[in-house]
This record gives sequence, structure tokens and C-alpha cells, in this order.
Amino acid sequence: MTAISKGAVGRVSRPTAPLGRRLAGLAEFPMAFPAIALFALFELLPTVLAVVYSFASLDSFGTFRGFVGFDNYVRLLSDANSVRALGVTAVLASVGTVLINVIGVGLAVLLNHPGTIYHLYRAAIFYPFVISGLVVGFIWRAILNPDGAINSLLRGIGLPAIPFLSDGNTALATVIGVTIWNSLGVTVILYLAGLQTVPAELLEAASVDGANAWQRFRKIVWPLLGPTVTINIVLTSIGLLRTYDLIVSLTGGGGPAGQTETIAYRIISLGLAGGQVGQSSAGAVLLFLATIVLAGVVLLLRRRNEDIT
Amino acid sequence: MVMQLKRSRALVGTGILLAGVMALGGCAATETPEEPQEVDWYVNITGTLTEAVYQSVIDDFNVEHPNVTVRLLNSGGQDYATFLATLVASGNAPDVVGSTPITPDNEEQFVDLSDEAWAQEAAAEPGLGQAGLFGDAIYYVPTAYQISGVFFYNKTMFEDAGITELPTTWEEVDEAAAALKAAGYVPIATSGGFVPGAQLRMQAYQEFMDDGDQWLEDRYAGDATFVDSAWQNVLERTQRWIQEGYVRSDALGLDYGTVAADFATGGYGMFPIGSFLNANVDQATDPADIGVFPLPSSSSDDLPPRAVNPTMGWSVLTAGRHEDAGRTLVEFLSTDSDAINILVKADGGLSPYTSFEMSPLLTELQDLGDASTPISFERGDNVPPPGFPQGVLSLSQKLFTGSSPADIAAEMDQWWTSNVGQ
Repeated sequence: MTAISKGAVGRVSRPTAPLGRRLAGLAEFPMAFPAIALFALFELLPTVLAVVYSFASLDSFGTFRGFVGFDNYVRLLSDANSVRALGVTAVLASVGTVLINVIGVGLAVLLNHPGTIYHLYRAAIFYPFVISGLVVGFIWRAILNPDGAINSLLRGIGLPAIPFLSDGNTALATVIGVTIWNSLGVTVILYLAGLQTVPAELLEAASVDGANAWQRFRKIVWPLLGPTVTINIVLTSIGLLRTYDLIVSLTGGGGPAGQTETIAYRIISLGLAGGQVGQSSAGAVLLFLATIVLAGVVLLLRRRNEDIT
Repeated sequence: MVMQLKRSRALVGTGILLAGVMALGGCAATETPEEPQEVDWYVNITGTLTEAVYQSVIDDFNVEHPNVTVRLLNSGGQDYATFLATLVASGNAPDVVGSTPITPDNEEQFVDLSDEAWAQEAAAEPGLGQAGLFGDAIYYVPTAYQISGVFFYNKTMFEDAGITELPTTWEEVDEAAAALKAAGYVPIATSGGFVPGAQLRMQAYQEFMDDGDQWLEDRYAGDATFVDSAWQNVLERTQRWIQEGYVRSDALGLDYGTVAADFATGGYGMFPIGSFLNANVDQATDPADIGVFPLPSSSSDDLPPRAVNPTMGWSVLTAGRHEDAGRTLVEFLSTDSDAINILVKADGGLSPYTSFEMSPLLTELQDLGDASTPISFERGDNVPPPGFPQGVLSLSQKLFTGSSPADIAAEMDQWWTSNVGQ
């Protein structure tokens, strides 16, 4: 009964668009078609194929050999290397996201001033982001390897070398550190853009009322930065979940002993070098689902927070 | 029967008619030009195996087969196998391919050449010829090989350390390492990446071959394990090298290219690795005086077995569009001595079929190869499962992070069980 009345109300209350506007809407479709077609071809189709392949057996040439149910998922999740790669990715994504955003907000606040020197600082911080992750990895590998610039310097002054890349415990920390260096630029720029939207009058009024810098930040700036924080957390965490290129070049594919192997690297390694296309696709589907869930949870929490405030 | 009779009469009639036409035309007995054919040849272009090298082989081929147009395809910098899979999946499979691992999982993709007399003859050759056999099928005939594992050593460092005899047992390798360390050198080279796994595999396979074992077959059948096998012996030996300081404890932070370049210019005493390292030594600007000696073998044979990776073997893909021309090209590449010479020389491989001037180091390697029985341990039905190098051999790196050989061997068995069964 309720459903019928709701539907009836909805039907009655919904305004009908004029015929001209509806025709205009139809006319817009052909204009959007190229973008829709490209999206379908390069995003939607591969995603659907990955889902299909994840339930199939394929040879190393990618030739279909029949469906195997959830066998690829079971094998993937019972493989110690893949489970470890999931753990490494979780640590990298969570620690990396927190640190990139905390440091990003801090630097953005420090750099949110007019003047040439601040522009220079911003450019310097943004610069690493424009370098390919692969190149970043090679550069830092040259600096941090056991015979690299830093360790040669340390040995030269009589200090012991630091196993940045050769010890399982420090290698992941090194990967996180280099990732932060590489990704910080865009985060800072987004926070700077967010800070520009905070009305100066509000801050002035708070100052007049006796609020100190921390109180102004906590009570005015931080709440107004909310949407930017959400965007940054979603972008950073999704980016870190897909970390691949840095692993190839910085740790030679997840070394030492797989301690820095991410799930994205494992997916590609299984599918291309290992010829296990089915397991690789199962990993890709799991990563895809994890990304959707993560983005959904962050957006949901953000929306709930906005409703409360 | 009546049909056959009619057909033979028709053939005789046609023959007489053709002969009459030729006679009437006064034509001499010239050969009819063969029908034009095409073939797509997918190759791996490297710094030494350049497009020009392949083109010179094609030019030779065209002297014998002027009607066949060979189109050269390469991966354009992408991984060879990955790009090949892309070509096949997209319906653009080449006809002839090389350097492609053939496994029970993908052998349907390759044309069985066992009906070709030349392939049967080549495969009948002991050693390298047999490396292309897959049960009764012949998917390719390798013409060259790389020795999977040898000890490259620095002659000057050996002299400085007072080592006068090259090691022939593992105990003597350890003694040489101790002497090198005492003389202030880093005795044994290793690195991160594929190297620890390759070093583990080369030593284990040598032990299996010495014992006449078919370990892989036994492992598939569930009759063998990694634990308490040559794998565990080698892991224990490597652990000893780490504990004694014969290898750098931070070696996993180094990449193969850096270590190979360091070794070539005098950074280490010994480097147990595949014969492919000779290219790094030969190309170094100021190379150290490097020699080779074989992995210790307990075999009493005059020609002890050596694990090799067959190279320069060519296959015809079933998904290709020109199988006949593909077979013709593969026959030429597998039997023409000039073509074999050109390709093997450029690749830096070893081969019983070649005769070109070699560098001193390559000559030493060839002598070592000639004094061995080359065996492709991972061949035909006797190949490890997909993912073996990534899944199992990377575990060998755990020796550097404190795991025990027994635990690592047990983990290898776990990997096998969850991926293969048994």
C-alpha cells in the first residue's frame, strides 16, 4: 500500500521535461559516444574479461581451456607468496596514505603564502610527481643500494652501511619513503587548492576573537578542507594499492625475498612471466573489488561526517 | 576401382595433352616458378642479434627460396613471450618463433615436426638434438645452448690467493673461497633478482644428473620432495657461504647487471652462473683475466652431464597462417650451416654445429661444453609447472633473511602441493 502510494506520488510530482530539452538530451548522446566507446573498449571490456578469465583455465598464450570455478581464487589465496603480497600492499597503502596526507597537509599549510620563494618550494615538491615511477625507482636504487651513494659516503666516513634495500625489515620502509617522496607533490597541490577556498574573513574574525593558529586550523580550516581530504585519501590509497613500477625498479621485483612484493606486481608477474593468466586475473578482480570497497567506505564515512556536522 | 581407373586414365590423358602443348610450343624443359609464399618470423632483437643479422639470414634463405617472402616481426622492446601471447590472442600469430618455452600446458600451439626427415635426423643426435624431443613429438631442434651453470673465476685473484689447482669438488670450492677471503677478496658473487634462484637450480640439477635422477618426474609423481633432496643440500651450502662471509650479506640489494659488471672488472673471485655471463666479460672496457671451470660433478663418465638451456631452436605455430612456408624456413634455420653460424655467433651461444672465431673466454666455454654431455633438464614433459621460478626459486632468497634451509625446502614443497598437487 505504502509502496503504491509512494510510486503514485513520485509519478505525479516528477516534473516532465519539455520536449525540446528531451530532444536536446538525445542530441547530446552522439557527442558523448566517442568517450563512452573508448571507456567501454579500454576500461569496461578488459574488466569484464578479467572477471571471466578469473574463473577459467588459460595457457601461457592466453588460449581458453575451460572454466574451473573458483579454483584460481582458491589457489591464489592459498599461495603464501600472494598472501604476503596482499599484506605488503595493505601496509604500503595504509601507512603510505596516512603519511602522505599528514605530511601533505602540513606542507600545504606552510606553503600557503604568497611570494616567489613559496612558488619555488611548491615546484620543488611537485617535481618528483612528474617523473615516471620506474625512473624514480632506478634513481633511488642507485642512491640506496649497498654500494650506492649514501652507503659509499657512510663507509667513507667510517660508519656502517645501512641495508636500505637488502634487509627485509628496512626495504619496505624504504619503499614507503620513496613512495611518499614521489607522490607528495600532487597531494600538496590539492591541499593548497583546498586551503585557497577557506574564506579569509572567517580566519580574521577568529583571530579577532582570540583564536590561536592551532584553534583556527582545527575549528575552521580542517572542517572546510573535508572534501579535499576525502579526495586525497581516495586518490592516494587507490594509487598505492596499484603500486607496480616502483617495485620493478627500486627493489628488483619485490626483493629481498619477496618482502616488498605488492599484489599489483604479483598479478603481473603471475600472468606474464608465470603464464598463470587465470590466477593473475583472479588477483586483478580481488584488487578491483578492494579498490571499490575502499573508495566506497571513505566516501560513506565522509558523507556521514558531513551529515553530523 | 572403376573410379580409380577413370582417374588414372584422365591423368594419363592430361599428361599427354600437357606434353603435346609443350612440344607444340617448342618450349625447353624450364621449371615452372614456385608459387609466391609468405612467412612471418617472430624474433628477439637484442644488442647483438640485430635486425641486420636476421636480414642477412633471410637473404641467404631467399637464395634457395626466392619465392618465399619473410616478414620479420619483433617485440619492439616488450618482453618476447608476452608480446607473442598478445600476437596469438589478437589473431596475428606469427608462423615461426624461437626461444619459447614449450610445456605440456601449451604444446598444442606448436606444429609437430616429427614427420620431417631433417627433424628426425637432428633429434636423433645425442645431447642437444634430444633436447627438442617432447615424447614422440618434435616441436623444435635447438642448434645451440648455454650451459646453465659454470664457475667463472678471476685468474689474478686465484693466483694472489695461492690457489694453484682449480676446484673439482665442493669442498675444494669452499677451500678456494676461504683462501680468497683471507687474501682480502669477496670470494663468490651473487645478487638479488633471479640470481639466487638460478644458482640454486644449477647446483641442484647437477646433483640430480650425476645421480641419474629424474627428480622432476618423481616430484610430479609425488615420489620426491624438496626436503631431504639436492635442493636442501644446495640451500645448506649457500647458507654456509653466507655465514662464512663468502658472499656479501647485503647481496640481495644489488642487481645482476651491477654484479656482472663488477665481476667482469675484478670485483669478485668466483661467479657461479650461466655461460651467458661471457657477454658481460667480453664487452667490458677493461676486463679482468677471467676463466671458467665446471660445476663439481660426481659423475665418473668421460663426458659428465651438464645442464644446458637449448637456444636457437625454431618452432612453427599452429595458429600461424603459412605453415608450409614456416616449415621451409625452420628447416633452413635448423640445417643451414651458414645460418646457424651467423645466428649462434651473434647470440654468443655454444654449439657443436658452428665454426667461427671465438673470444678466448667463449673458447674455454665451448671446450667445457664439448667435454660434457649437454642435457636440457627442463625439457618436454619434464618441465617444471608454470610459476616455478617465481613461486619456488625466489624462496631461495630467504636464506639471506634468516630462514633455515629445511624451512625453505618445506615451503617449496608447500608451493608445489598447492599449485600442482601431490
